Order: sequence, then C-alpha cells, then structure tokens
Amino acid sequence: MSSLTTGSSQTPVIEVDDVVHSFKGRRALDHVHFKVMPQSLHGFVGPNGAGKTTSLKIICTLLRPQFGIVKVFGHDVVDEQKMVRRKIGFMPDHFSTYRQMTVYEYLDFFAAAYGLPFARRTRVIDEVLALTDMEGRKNDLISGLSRGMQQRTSLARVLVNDPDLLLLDEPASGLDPRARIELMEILKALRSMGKTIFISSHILPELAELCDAVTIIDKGKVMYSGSMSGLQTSTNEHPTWRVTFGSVIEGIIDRIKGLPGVVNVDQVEGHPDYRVSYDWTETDTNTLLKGLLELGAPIVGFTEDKRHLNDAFMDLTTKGVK
Amino acid sequence: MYYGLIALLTRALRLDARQLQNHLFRLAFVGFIYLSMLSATFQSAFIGAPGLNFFSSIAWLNLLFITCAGIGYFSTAITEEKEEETLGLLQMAGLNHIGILLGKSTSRLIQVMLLLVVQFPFMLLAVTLGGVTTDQILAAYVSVLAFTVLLANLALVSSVLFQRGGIASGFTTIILVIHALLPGFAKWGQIELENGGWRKSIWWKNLIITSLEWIEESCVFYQMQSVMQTGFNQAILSKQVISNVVCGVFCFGLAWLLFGPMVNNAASGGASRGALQKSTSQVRFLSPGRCWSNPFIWKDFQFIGGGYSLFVGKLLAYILLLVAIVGSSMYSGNWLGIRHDDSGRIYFGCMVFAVVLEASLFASRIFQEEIRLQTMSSLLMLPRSIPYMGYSKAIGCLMGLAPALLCLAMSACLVPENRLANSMKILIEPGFWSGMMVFLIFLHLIALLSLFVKWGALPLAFFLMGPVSTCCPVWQLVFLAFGTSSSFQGEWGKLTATIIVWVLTALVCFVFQMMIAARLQALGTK
Repeated sequence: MSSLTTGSSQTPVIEVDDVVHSFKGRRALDHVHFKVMPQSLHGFVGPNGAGKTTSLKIICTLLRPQFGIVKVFGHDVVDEQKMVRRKIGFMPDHFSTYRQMTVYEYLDFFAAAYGLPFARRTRVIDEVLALTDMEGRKNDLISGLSRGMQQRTSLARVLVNDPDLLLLDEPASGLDPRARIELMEILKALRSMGKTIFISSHILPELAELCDAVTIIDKGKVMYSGSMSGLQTSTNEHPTWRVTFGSVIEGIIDRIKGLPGVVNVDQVEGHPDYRVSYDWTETDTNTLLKGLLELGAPIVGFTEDKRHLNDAFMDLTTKGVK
Repeated sequence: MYYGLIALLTRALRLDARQLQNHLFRLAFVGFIYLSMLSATFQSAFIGAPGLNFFSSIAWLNLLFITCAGIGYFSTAITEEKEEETLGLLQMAGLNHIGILLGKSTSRLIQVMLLLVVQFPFMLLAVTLGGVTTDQILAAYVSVLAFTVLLANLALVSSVLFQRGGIASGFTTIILVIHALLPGFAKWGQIELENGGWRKSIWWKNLIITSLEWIEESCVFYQMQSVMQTGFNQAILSKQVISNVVCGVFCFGLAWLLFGPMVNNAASGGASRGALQKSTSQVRFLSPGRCWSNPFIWKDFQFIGGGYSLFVGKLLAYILLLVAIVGSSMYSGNWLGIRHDDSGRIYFGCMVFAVVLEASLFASRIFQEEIRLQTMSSLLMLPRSIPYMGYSKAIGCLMGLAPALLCLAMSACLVPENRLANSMKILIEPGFWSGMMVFLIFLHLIALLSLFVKWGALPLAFFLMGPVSTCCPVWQLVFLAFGTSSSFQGEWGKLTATIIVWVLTALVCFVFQMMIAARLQALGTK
C-alpha cells in the first residue's frame, strides 16, 4: 500500500465543541462535545434518532452546525470546507453507488473526481481493490454484487483519495455475520496503516473488540466519550474478566468469590468459563489474576469480558428514556 | 379471492382521495381552464365565436398532457414495484395477479379519468362562447377517455414486460408512434387494394378491407381533428372509441396473462447499461473505457447520453431517416405524400423534434439519476463545486446530443430558403432567440422539477410552460415590442433586440441554476 499514506498528526483529529443543531424545532444535537484522537478507531453509538448521522454529516461538512465549532485536523468545517474534504472519506449509511457501472469504472470515476492523474489512478485503484479483496470482482456490475460486496465497494471508493480520517455511518448494517467480520478485518488493517476511523454502528460486541475509544450519544446529548477502559468506571460497572480453566472444577465459584474484591462470579453454561467481576476500588486486574493463579486450578485463558459496552449502552441510553 | 382482487385498488383510491395535493392539482387544471376561458372572453371582442378555438386548444392540451404524462405514469405502474423489489411482498400479502394489476394500474387510470371528468362541466361553458356544440365537446371527451383506457393498458403491458420504468416508457412511446402511423398505412393499403380491384364481395377480402377501415379511424389524433371541424355531426361512440376501449381491455388481459411468467422469472436488482458493454466483453470498443480527466462529462456521456455505441447508432439512424425521406419523395406514389421539394423541410422538422425530445429526456435524467441512486451525498464530498459538476454533466449530455445537433445543422442547409447565407442571418433574429430562450427555460424547468418529483418531470414542465406563457405574458409583450418598435428595425435594431433576449435568457437561466444548485445541496444533505 505504497500510495496510501499514514496519518501522523498529534492534535485531535476531530474536535466537536458545544454543537447544537435542530430540525424543524426538534433538537437533534444538544451541546455535543467530544474529541477523536489520531490513529484511533473511535466508535460512535446510540439508539436510532440519537443524533449520530447528524453529527457525522456536520463533521464531514455536509451540514453546517447551527451553533458550536467543529474542527477536523484543526480546520473549521464551515470556513475551511475544502481542506477538510481533502482529508476525509465519508461512507453514508446507504449504498451510494452507480449500480450500472462496474466496480472498476466506479472507482475510476471517483479517483478522477478527486483529481488523481491517470497513472496514479491505476495504481491507487489496484491498491484499494487489493485491500478490500475485490480484485476478482472488479469487472462485475455493482448491481450484481451482494450487499457485503457493495459495502466493500463503497469502502474502496472512500479510500481512493487516501484520506487520513474515515467517517463510516453504519457500515455493518444489513450485512451477514461473515461480511461483517470481513469488514471489521479491513478496518483493523486500515487502523494498522495509521488511519483514524470514526465509526457509527449498532453492532456493539464487534465495536467493543475493535475500538480504542467510544462516544455514546442519546437524544442529542453525549452520555460518554472516552476510552473503552474508562467506560467501565464511568458507568459504575464492575470490571469483568473471563477466566477459562482446563475443565469444569467443582466448588471453584465459591473459591473465586472468596478472593478479595470479587463481587460476582457466574459460569458460562456447560463450559469451564467463568465471568469474574470485581470492585475496582478494592482491587485491580493484576491482583485478581494473582489470586486466581494461587487457587491452583489450571488456567488456560484470561480475557477482558467485552459485554461491558452492551451494558454501558443500555445503562446510559435507558437513563435518558427514564 | 375477493379481498385479493380489489384490496390494492381500494387502497390506492382511498389514498388518492385523502391526499390534498391531488385535489389541488385537479383544481389547478380547472383554474387553468377558467383562465383560458377568461382570455377567450376577451378575444370575443376581436374575433367571432371563439368557443371552438378555446375548446380545441384545451382539448389538444388535454390530449398532449395525457399522452406525455401517461407514458411515464402508466408505464411505471409495475416497474416501480420491480425496481423496489416489493412485488414479492404484495404477492405474499395475499394479492393475486389481477388484484395487483387493478391496484397499480387501474387506480392510476381512474385518477387520470377524474382529471378529465372534473373539467367537463366547465368545458360545457365553451358553448356559450359560440362556435362549438355540446355534441362536439362530448365526442372529444369520450375520444380522449377511450384513448386513456388504451394508453393505460398498453403501458401496463410494457410495465409487465420490462424491468425498468425508462425502458417500459420507451417501448410504450414506440407503440404509440406506430399507432399514430398505422392509419396512414391503412389508408394507403386501402387505396392500393381498390386499385388492384379488391371489393368487399368475398368474406375474407371484406374482413381485410373492414379491418383497414377500422385501423384508419382508430387513432385519437385523427379523430380529434375530425371532432374539431365546424359542423361535426358523427356518432359519439365512433370507431376510434370502440377500437381503443376494446384494445385497452385486450391489453389488460394480455398483461394479466404475462404477469406470472414475466414477473416470477424476472432477474432482480438489474441495472441497465443500455448498449454499453463491459471492458472485458468481446466488443470492447463499445465499453465506456477509462474515465476521462473530467469524470462528470465522461459519466453523463456514457451512462445518460448512451456512450460511443449510441452516438454512432443515432447518427446512422438520423442519416437513414434522411435517406428514407429523400427516397420516399422520389417515389411519386408514396403514401405520406412527400414531395421532393419538401424533403429538406420535413427532415429539418424531424430533426428539430429529435433534438427537443432528446434534450428534454437528458434534462429529466441529468440530476434525477443522482437522486435515484442516492449518490448526491458522495458527490458533495468531492472537492468540486456544484456548478462545476452541473456544467460538466450538461456538457456530457450535450455530447450525447451531438448526433441530433449535427443532423439538425445538416438539415438546415437542405432547406432551400435556409441555405448557409440565410442561416447566418437567423442568428440575429430576435424571434429565433426568443424560441431558443423558451426552449432553454423549458429544459431548466424539467431539470428543476426532476429534483422534486419521482417521475413525470417532463410532462409537468410541458404543462407548466403552457400556463406560464399564458398567465405571464411578459415575454410575449417583450417580443411584440421588438417586432413593432422602430428602435428595433434594421440589422442593428435586430442585433440590439437579440442581445436583450440573450441577457434575459442568461438571467432567467441563472435563477433556475441557482435553484437547482440549492435543491441539490439540500438533497445531498438529507
């Protein structure tokens, strides 16, 4: 991927400061404030109608904020629209494709629209096709592609101008599990190339696994914005880890519960997997692991339980409903 | 069974009755008639019995509106369900084939008929203006209604046969053109048979001659000419009315018969590339090839203009038309009655029609395609301005129009009185430029309307141009001033008037372009 360079700025890539936006008297964004750091994969979650798409459209310069300031790579989205557009790639929540074109024609069109010279266009298109694993389908009509393939084509289109920031609105919506996993793999590859990815999605477990940071929005208000690890404490959740033993051990639940700081233990039905929650004010992960090892049972796995984004999402967004 | 038969029809009619905009549209149509009548009343001070003039202009406008709007409206009845892949859902909801056809097409037919019915009482007032009888009005409306039945069901067959609304509309148009040409052929056939000694003495000869007589009188356009003549005294249920209704019912039956096989075996989600081939196909030269440095010109030339293949195809077709017209004119007994002296003028007329038709179609698609495919948000993200995109797209369409323009220019040289020297003079004629201005405004109006309505921008623009030029006679006054004022006499006077028309045209077009840009921006951010 020689043509696709890496983003290297140290200032926040996106700064949303006190943004207010209303549609016909209904407030879609209410003093929204958050930052996205460079080279991170930042999740943006919230229920339907929470203001995710409005925020994304403001960040990508399609909408002007009625109040507040939004900066992308330090450029104001209102005053320096062209500068912002050159640095970002936006993938909307619908297929924005010319279905009568082939994949190659479609990418060629957008590459030319970004002003890439002919020779560079050829190279860039080959690279994005390779990255999105679409080389074998480049001469297929877009109308004949599956939903997952069309989504990849859209992603390839976003990449042709080599943006430093990718704004993806519900990219996994409507995709089957396989297509979703493949899409996430591509996003991981893009992050490893140094791109900053701001992704709005409803698929929380995958976001929890993928994202470095998350912003939760509900009814136009930011309920949480920060790192994934910080999410646990902010929602008063007990950090939860999953410990896997070599086999099911009788009485192990009571022995784990006896460890200092542990507040809850439950077993994944039929498996030698146990979810262990502890009170972060009394202990920490290292102390917990040390205690588990001292129990003398053979531990084969110890991973952070990813359920917390689901729980946090439910907790933070239902508060608004109440 | 009963539920499946009329559920959709009932729903469509209820929906139509509840929507205020439909009633407002009919009210606007009646209002337009009222304004025309007012205008005719003023005319009565200058000309005697203006009722027939008023009535014939409204009747022809009705017919043209129904023909233009009907092609798009009726031809998309089933294709819109195919494009949105919702036909399966309708069938799963317990609606049978005839129920879907009634609900999707017959409901539209009833809506259009209502448009005619609401104006009928007002049209009877034309009798008070003189020059027209109640029978003429009744006969004209019955003729148009019968033609509407034929058009709706003919378009329904196209809608069942084809996947895309555009192709179905194209097919319906071709059949209508054949329908308009058939009477001429039938008349020619009758004359030839009579010359060959054929009489109605034997049953099969009788059948053939009678069929030709019916075909000759089946076209609504000829029937309307007959109805509009002073002293019209024929049966209201004419051969045209009977044949159109019978053909309409037959077409409905055909659509019902074809519905199952055509709809159930149809490939889903197809997007037509027309004659364009993929770069991997055997005929690579027909593919769009690599994108040009201005991608918008490339895209619209290839995917709206039809690309290289349609460019060559249209050029050949227009040249063939010239050959056909000149060839026919050399044969003294040709059924069209073309004389050799007239061939250049006829070809010129055909090419003007072709340019207007093609340009109107391009104008209706130039932005509509972006809206339909939801690509505006992606285009707005490009580091290109909306005017850049819009003008580039217009150039792309203009390239698609090039064959017709080339042949139009060629035909202008074929018209005896418009030879090259005279052709140059027309460039400083205010009348010529005023015509151009109306055409440009028409194209802009189509493009703008296509951003507001899903289908039918073309007929709507056509309809709006009528009331606009009737109710806002600013342009006519300006041209009248050019024609009569001594300031605009002579070569320099004409040039001044022409420049004024140019400035006016530029101003009006600029306002339209601003409105189009604002609407595109709004749609892209939606």
